[in-house]
Amino acid sequence: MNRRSALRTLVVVTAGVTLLPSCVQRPRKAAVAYKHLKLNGEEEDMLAAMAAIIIPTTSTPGAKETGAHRFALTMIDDCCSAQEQAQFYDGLQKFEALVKQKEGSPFLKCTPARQQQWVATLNTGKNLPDNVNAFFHLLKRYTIEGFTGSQYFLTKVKVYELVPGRFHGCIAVSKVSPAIDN
Amino acid sequence: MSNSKQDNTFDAIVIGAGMSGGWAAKELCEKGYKTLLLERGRNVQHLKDYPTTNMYPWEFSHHGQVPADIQEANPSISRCYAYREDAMHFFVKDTEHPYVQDKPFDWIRGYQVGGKSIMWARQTQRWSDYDFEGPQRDGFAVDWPIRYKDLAPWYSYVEKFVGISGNKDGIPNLPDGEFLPAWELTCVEDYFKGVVAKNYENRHVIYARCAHLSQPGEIHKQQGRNQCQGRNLCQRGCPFGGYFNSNSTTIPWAQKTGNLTLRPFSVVHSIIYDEHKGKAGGVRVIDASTKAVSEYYAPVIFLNAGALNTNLVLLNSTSSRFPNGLGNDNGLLGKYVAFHNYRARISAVYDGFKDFTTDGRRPTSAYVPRFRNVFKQETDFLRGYAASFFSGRFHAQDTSGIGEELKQQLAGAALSPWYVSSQMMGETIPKESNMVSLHADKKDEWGIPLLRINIGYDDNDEKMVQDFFEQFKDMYTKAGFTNIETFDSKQAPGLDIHEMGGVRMGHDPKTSLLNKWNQLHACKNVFITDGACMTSTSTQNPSLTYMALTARAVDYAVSEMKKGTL
Repeated sequence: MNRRSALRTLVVVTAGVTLLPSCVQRPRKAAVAYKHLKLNGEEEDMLAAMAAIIIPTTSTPGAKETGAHRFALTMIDDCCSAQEQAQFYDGLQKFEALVKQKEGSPFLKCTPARQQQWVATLNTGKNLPDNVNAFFHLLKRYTIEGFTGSQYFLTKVKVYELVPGRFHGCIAVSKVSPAIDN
Repeated sequence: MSNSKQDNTFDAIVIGAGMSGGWAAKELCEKGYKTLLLERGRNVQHLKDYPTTNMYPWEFSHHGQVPADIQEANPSISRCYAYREDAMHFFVKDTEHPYVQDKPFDWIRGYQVGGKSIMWARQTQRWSDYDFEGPQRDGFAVDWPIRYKDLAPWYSYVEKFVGISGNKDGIPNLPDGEFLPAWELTCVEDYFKGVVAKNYENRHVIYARCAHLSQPGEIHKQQGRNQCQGRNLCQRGCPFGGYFNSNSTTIPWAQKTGNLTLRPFSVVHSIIYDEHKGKAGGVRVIDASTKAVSEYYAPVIFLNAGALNTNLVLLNSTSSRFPNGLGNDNGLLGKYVAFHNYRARISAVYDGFKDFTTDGRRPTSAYVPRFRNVFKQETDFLRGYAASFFSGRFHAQDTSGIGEELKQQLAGAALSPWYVSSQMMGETIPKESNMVSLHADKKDEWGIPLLRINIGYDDNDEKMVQDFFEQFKDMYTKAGFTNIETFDSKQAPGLDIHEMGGVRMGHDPKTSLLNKWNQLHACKNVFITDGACMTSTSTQNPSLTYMALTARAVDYAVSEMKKGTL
């Protein structure tokens, strides 16, 4: 925890933001107890907001309604190697710093349009500090996995059949529903 | 249960409740013998103990993936294709049951009633005389003491009970059996079959026979099993009993006779040799949880602990008559272990049949029986390989966008071209140096020595991998497949889960451990019919052969018991 706070302070200082004493407080705790990831509540919220931009709520559910952002963090915490987790965390920190440097405020305080723009920039993968790309692509990959593996997606978009009860080895494409996940 | 000698005496003891042990128990019980079936792991009852069987993908917290800390702590089991979140509870973790790898060997185990029959790949191809005669013709191992005609009726016997889906293909080196209907081949599999038939002599692409009830018969209904629904979630245990495992079929069948005593959590320490009677008297068992030692007695013992564990039990069964392990007069126990070489894969795409696809799922694929060195030696390596042939199309997932664009991409239904792939299933040559032994000092928590495994590939295996690549590239090219890619996983032996031998069958007690009835030459009331008995490996998935050998050996044991000679 101490090392983490120190690291955060360092990042904030290098980002050139003036630290008022009143700002030096313990960051809000994350809602989820992670095994390996060191995230605070603000970071969790930022990742949720980013996931909701990657897969937005439209007339149909997005990352938020399907819990894809929570799934992404579970996967990064449980299923990624220590090296991937370190890259993820480092990239996350650098991204937060970059946003503060350019916007003068953290990601969550940016306007929706600016947030959108930032995620679009990350998606291009161009001219980003070390590990920011790795950070974003882990987040994106697992958000997609969470979404496409969700109950919503597998019952409404591409239907997963637990008991298909049939196999056709050679059937016209036109006769197969595109909504079935074969 | 009281521990008096009388209470602990049975007509027969079977060690291990997996694929072959289940069969031994069924056959013995059906013939009226009070049988004790010992299993080192927990009980797994059909339907009741398949906790994940009806779970949807989203109900698994990692959508199927095994968490990284478990993988890191258990590297061998984590390399197994079926070790996934939905079935990991049926596999042994490396950390739970350690062993010593003199060379890398991924030992894949399932310690429970049903053993690995719960998670097996369900492929069931018969052997032919081109397999049984291999060692004699090609001058390796020792001659098999049996031929196809000895096993053919038992293959039929087992197939009828198990339920095998297949086609009669009329191929001399892959004999036909008792088949339920086959699922369809895909357009591309059918097409490839035609290309291969046109361009090559003695090469075939067929439907891979599998232990699934495509159309249950009366006997399967009596077992309480139903038609396979093509879920392809077999490794979880099947709520329909659509595929064969010991839990749904042989063990309940044995229980129905009233002659079975199933004792889970029973770690077999050793087989007790009775010096006065000059044969095995019983089995020493350590309770897996309490570590209490007890002994069970019977005039006949079937040892079906799984190939390498069967070796371990025999090596640990020492007496003044057998100081080097039960039946081990010639010092060959634990030696001449072999396996299947599954390292090589080839894949490609096919641009044809664009207007066609598949619909639903099926539990098998196509199969290319061995074509190398079948009728005569034709290459600079011995023996050959069979291969799977799979084809299918996928929904190509474009994930380049973000926002609404990405959502549309994910919902998109663009089908990929047909993807094809084959995996090599190569025969390996048993060698004295490929062996298992007991570790001199290290013991497990039950005080049983750890198994040392010293098994590796040889030059013959390397040449075979190259030949597989060349021949399949040629076949794929002739079929007009493109983007052909070959891949040598270099995986360690063991991951094929087809380890065999160490207690091989043969004519001569000087060069083999078991006779043609799977009896230890030197201790005739001990029968071994699991993978340990295999003199050579050929290329077929071996479980069907173990089951047939088991039914045949029980039949013989019963006739000998009736004659009073055992």
